This record gives sequence, C-alpha cells and structure tokens, in this order.
Amino acid sequence: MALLEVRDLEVEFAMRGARLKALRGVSFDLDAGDRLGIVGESGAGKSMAAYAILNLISEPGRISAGSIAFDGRVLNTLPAEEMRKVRGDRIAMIFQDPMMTLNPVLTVGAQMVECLKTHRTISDGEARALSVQKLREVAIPSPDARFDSYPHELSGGLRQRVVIAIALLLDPAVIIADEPTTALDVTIQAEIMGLMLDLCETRGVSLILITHDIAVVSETTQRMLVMYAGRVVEQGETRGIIARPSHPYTRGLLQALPQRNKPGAELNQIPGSMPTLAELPPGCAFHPRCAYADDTCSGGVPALRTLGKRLVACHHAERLK
Amino acid sequence: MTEPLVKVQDLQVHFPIQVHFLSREKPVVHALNGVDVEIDRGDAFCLVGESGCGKTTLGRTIMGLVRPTVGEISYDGERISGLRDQALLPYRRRMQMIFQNPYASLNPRMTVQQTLEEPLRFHKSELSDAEVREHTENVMVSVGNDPGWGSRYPHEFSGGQRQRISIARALMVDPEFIVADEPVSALDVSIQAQVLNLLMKVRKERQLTYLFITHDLSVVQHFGTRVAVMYLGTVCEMTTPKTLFATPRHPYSQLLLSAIPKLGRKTFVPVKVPGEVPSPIDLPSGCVFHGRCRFANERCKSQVPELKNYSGAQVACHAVEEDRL
Ligand SMILES: Nc1ncnc2c1ncn2[C@@H]1O[C@H](COP(=O)(O)OP(=O)(O)OP(=O)(O)O)[C@@H](O)[C@H]1O
Ligand SMILES: Nc1ncnc2c1ncn2[C@@H]1O[C@H](COP(=O)(O)OP(=O)(O)OP(=O)(O)O)[C@@H](O)[C@H]1O
Ligand code: SF4
Ligand SMILES: [Mg+2]
Ligand SMILES: [Mg+2]
Repeated sequence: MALLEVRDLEVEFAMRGARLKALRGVSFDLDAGDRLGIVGESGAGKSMAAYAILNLISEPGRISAGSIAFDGRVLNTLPAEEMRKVRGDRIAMIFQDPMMTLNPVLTVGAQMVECLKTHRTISDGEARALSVQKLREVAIPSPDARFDSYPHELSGGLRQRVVIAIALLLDPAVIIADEPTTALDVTIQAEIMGLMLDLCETRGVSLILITHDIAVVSETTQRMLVMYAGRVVEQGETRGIIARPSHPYTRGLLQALPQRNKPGAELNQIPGSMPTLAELPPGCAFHPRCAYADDTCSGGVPALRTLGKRLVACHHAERLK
Repeated sequence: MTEPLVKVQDLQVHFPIQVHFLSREKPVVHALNGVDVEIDRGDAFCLVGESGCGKTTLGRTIMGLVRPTVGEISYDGERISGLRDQALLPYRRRMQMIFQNPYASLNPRMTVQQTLEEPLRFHKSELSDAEVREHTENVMVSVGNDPGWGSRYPHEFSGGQRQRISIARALMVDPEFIVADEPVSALDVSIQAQVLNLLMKVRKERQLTYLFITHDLSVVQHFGTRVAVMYLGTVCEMTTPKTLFATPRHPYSQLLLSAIPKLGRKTFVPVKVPGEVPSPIDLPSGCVFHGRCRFANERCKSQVPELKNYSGAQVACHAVEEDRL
C-alpha cells in the first residue's frame, strides 16, 4: 500500500441549478520520497485536486466520488477535528495564493509560533528560534527582522517563501506545493527546489508539485499528470512525457514554450480556449481544438488507457508516435 | 534622439517598517537605491532580478502609486512625480498597470463585467451602453476569455483565469504604456503563448510600450527589446536580451542565467551561492552584491559601482571595469 492513494477522485459544484464536475476520475499513488508533478490548462482542476486531497472543498462544491487514503486511513470520511490534525502536521499545503495561509493582521512570527504551539508542546523561545531558522532556510534576508513583519510589508516572493517556511515548520510527510515558486526568481527558485528535493531524498518526504513551469517539473519530478478540463489526459514518467508526448494537448503545451520557438516570432498556440465546465463539448473535451480530431472524438469520451508505460486519454494517441 | 517615454532619474524609495514596540530602532527598507532607467516608445522593457529587489516598487512608483523618497520620474517629457492626484488624472488613462497578484487585484464584490466597464465609464464616459458592451466583448475574446464570464464573480475563477481578466481590464482604455507585473506567471504555457502573442500584436499595432516584470527568462528572451537586471534596489546591468543571453557581464546576471531550469535536463543542478543573503533593511556597503560575489575585492566592499557603458551594455561592476572577469 502506498503512503498516499488517490482513487477516482471526483469533485462536483452545484451552480445555478446545474451540477458541474470540476474534477473527474483522478487517481495516483505516492510513496515516501516520491515526487509527482501536475501540469495543465489554467482552470483544469489542479488546485481543486489538491484541495480535495486535504478535504478543503467547501460549499457549493463537494467530493462526489472516489477516495483518498493516507498511511492506511481514509481521509475523505475523517471527522473535521481529526482531519485538522493531519492537515498541516502530516500533509502540508503550500497554497497558490499566499494569503490563504497568511493572516494579514498578524506578524509572520506570531503565525509561525501559533502554528507550532497548536501542534507541538514547545516553549515560546524554542518556537521563535525554530521559526527564524526555517525563515533562514528558505533564503529570507534578515530573518530576525522579518519575523516581526506583517504580510503586506513583504514582496510577492518573500510572502511565498514565508508560506513555504510555514509548511516546513512541522516536518510533514507529504508536501503539496501549488505553484510554490512562481513569484520567485530562478536563483531562489533553485535554492528552494534544492531544499525540497533534499527533504525528499534524505528524509523520505513526498512532494506533489503543481506548476506551469514545465522545465521545473522536468528537472525535479519522477512522474507527472497532465490535466485538461477536470480530467487527467496523460500520466506517466516525466522524462518520457516531455521527450515524446502521447496526448495532443500535452504536445500543444510543449510546443507553446518560448524555449521551443524563435525569439520575437509568434508563439505556437493551441487554437481556441478551454471550454467552461458548464459547456463541455461531447466526446473528448479537447476535440474542438485538436488537429487529430475526427468523428470518433466527438462521438465518445476517450478512456484513460495504458499505452506502453503510460496512461493516455486519447482515441488517436498511437498517431503521435 | 527623441525623448524617452518614461525617464526615471536617481530614484530612491524607502519604506519605514515596524519592529517590536519596545525596540528603539527605526529601521527602513531600502527598496530602491538610485535607479536610472529610460524606456523608449514601443519598447518591451523587461525587468528581472532577485525576488524582493524592488521591481514592483519601481513599477508602482512610475504609476504614481508610491511616492519617491528621492529622485524624479518624467512621462512624455513632463515631470509626473510629486504631481497631485488631480494633475495626474490625464496620465491615469494613458498608463495602466497589471498587478502581480491576481487574487488581490480584482474587487470580489464586482462581477467581471462591472470590473471591465469601470475604467471605461470613468475615462470614456461618452460611450453608449451598446458600445461599452461591444468593446468589453472584443477585449475579452482577444485575451482568450469567454465573454460569458461577465456575470460571474472573481472567486469563481482559477488563478490564471483571474489574471486574464486583469489583463483585459488594463487593455480596456487603450493605454499607451502598460506596467505588467508578472502578467503571465500564473498562466499555463498555452495561454501564456496566447497572451504574449496578443501583447506583441498590440505593441506593433498601437506602438504600445511595456514595462514588463517577470521571473521567466525565456519570456524575456522571446518578448523583450531591452532588459534591466536588478539586485537589491539597484540596476546592475542594462542591455538587449540578445546581448544579455549571449554575454552576461555582471556576476549576478551570470548567476541568474546559470540557474534557469532546462527542459529535458535530467537532473536538478543546485545553485550554490556563497555568503549570507544581503538585506534591504541593512544594506551592504559598496556593491550590493559583494557578499555573494566570487570576484569581490576591497574596492567592491567600500565603493558603490556606477552603471558604465561597455559595447552594447551598461554594467555596474568594478570587476568588469577592471577587466577581472
Ligand atoms: N467556488 C467555485 N465555484 C465554481 N467554480 C469554481 C470554484 N472554484 C473553482 N471553480 C472552477 O473549477 C475549475 C478548476 O479550478 P482550479 O482552481 O482547480 O484550476 P487550476 O487548474 O488550479 O488553474 P490555475 O492553473 O489557473 O490555478 C475552474 O474552471 C474554476 O472556474
Ligand atoms: N509597503 C511596504 N512596506 C514595507 N516594505 C515594503 C513595502 N512594499 C515593499 N516593501 C519591501 O521593499 C522591497 C522591494 O519589494 P518589491 O515588492 O518591489 O520587490 P519585487 O522585486 O517586486 O519582488 P518580487 O519579485 O518578490 O515580487 C522588499 O524588501 C519588500 O519587502
Ligand atoms: S481523442 Fe481525438 S480530439 Fe481528443 S485529443 Fe485525441 S485525437 Fe484529439
Ligand atoms: Mg490553481
Ligand atoms: Mg514584485
């Protein structure tokens, strides 16, 4: 049994009388020390998947199917009080929006100390020392002074690093990082990714990394999921997927990278835009934008099926070889 | 030579910060320490540099949202720093800003339609309702948004979708200068491509000028016409993206380029930077980078290097001047 097992996860939103599926059938395993990347269209449901794992979906949304098991315990049916203990302590989340973690009226230090005292028996002095040490680990200048800063006094990247420091505070077993380094320059990004990889390798921490930066996913993860319109469209070894994508969406994504285009020229873009959840096209949700699409594609939803060492949800994946 | 559109001279911005109420210190953050920048009409001027080095502060100060502590800013030949709100009004339409945080920059109580119409009704009150609606729809489509989003509220959108709404809002009033603070970092690469293509297209068609703040150096290489590299409130190198990528001269620029993650690279290469992270609260003497620089000598520790011209680039580094690199 894997440390974290996610099976057929489904999230539903009740909106204006309709039921919208923001997430459909996401499954994966994560063992101690594993690093999984999640990429995909903005609005595809990546953050939603993270919230669902932590049981953070609130009205009008709910987990409508599937299960999440951590360390042998099913999380999605856990009482709220038990779940709160798991969250933050064993599984830490680095939110895409730092202000989801940070309280604007409290100093950085007050929040860190409070977090430590909720989960541990620790003196004020020790809590302060440990907090400052974590701030230093994430390359925050003058950590002693920043301990007393309010969130609005910090730049975007400093805030993001404070949130990472808070996530690392309790030595979690799993870190779910939602765009943890988007506000950071590449040198600090490299330092922080180095720190997280070190935790994975030396302490067996598992990492779920949600990001738009495919180069970072390529350098730091072993396996990856590609999501589109609430579904996983491709899943497997990171290296293989980036070298030879099997799904037309993944391929379009890789071709849109500035690194793969001539400077100053128009960038390759996938035509059209992702449909809203309320107006998903029939069959493969990607078919109106897909160069390989035919009647089969608009006729039926492609199942996520095995192709070589990979899973792909495309009727014509063989044609991309 | 024609007058630059935006001219920033010896700009310094200091923020006082709070410390423990018993403490007698009154520390300040030296966010900008003497920045000189000229942005020509039609430029896609990119700003890169360490997180916290003052990029957003520079953008906000140009927009008149932060007061300079020292120095001045001119726009189209007119001094705009220190102007009163009323006198700034005509500039407010010509200059727009796309803010770094898409979560905080949209009013949660306004629908997307109201958010987009607001600047238009304010700056172009002569338009009819039908014209406003049509214009809104065109702008929404041009940034890859579904015009049907109009009746929804910001919390119903993902981070990237919100960012596209803020980009649409900035384009609503046909500005001539846009400060775009990390406008594409919340977007997946296919939407990033759409938005960058769009920004490049409007730049060509309308001679739009950008100050483009980003951490993504591949975007700079693709999109930029000029680039300034900043470290701790100062500009350390200013040149074209082409020159920067071919021959980075400042030691910090070299470090920055070496840390770019590479697609298809099989392993993660950790970046080892020597020394302590310097702080804008306790600014180092001499060159702000000296504590982390392999080439630092005594002069670097005591004397602040000035931006000087070297064929094709301006660089602020004693080692470059002394030809020690
Ligand atoms: N409270 C809500 N009510 C209705 N729909 C919502 C709500 N929150 C999110 N959604 C929708 O759910 C979908 C998935 O959103 P999610 O935030 O998971 O996207 P994402 O993949 O993380 O995107 P990004 O890369 O832009 O952060 C989006 O289409 C979004 O519009
Ligand atoms: N209102 C404020 N009060 C106090 N300090 C501030 C304030 N705004 C910014 N600062 C500080 O000024 C410095 C520069 O911040 P700025 O936001 O300009 O950085 P940045 O280069 O945009 O960084 P990032 O890439 O992380 O967004 C930082 O040390 C920041 O903490
Ligand atoms: S199933 Fe058809 S439409 Fe969907 S990605 Fe594959 S080829 Fe394209
Ligand atoms: Mg998200
Ligand atoms: Mg900033």
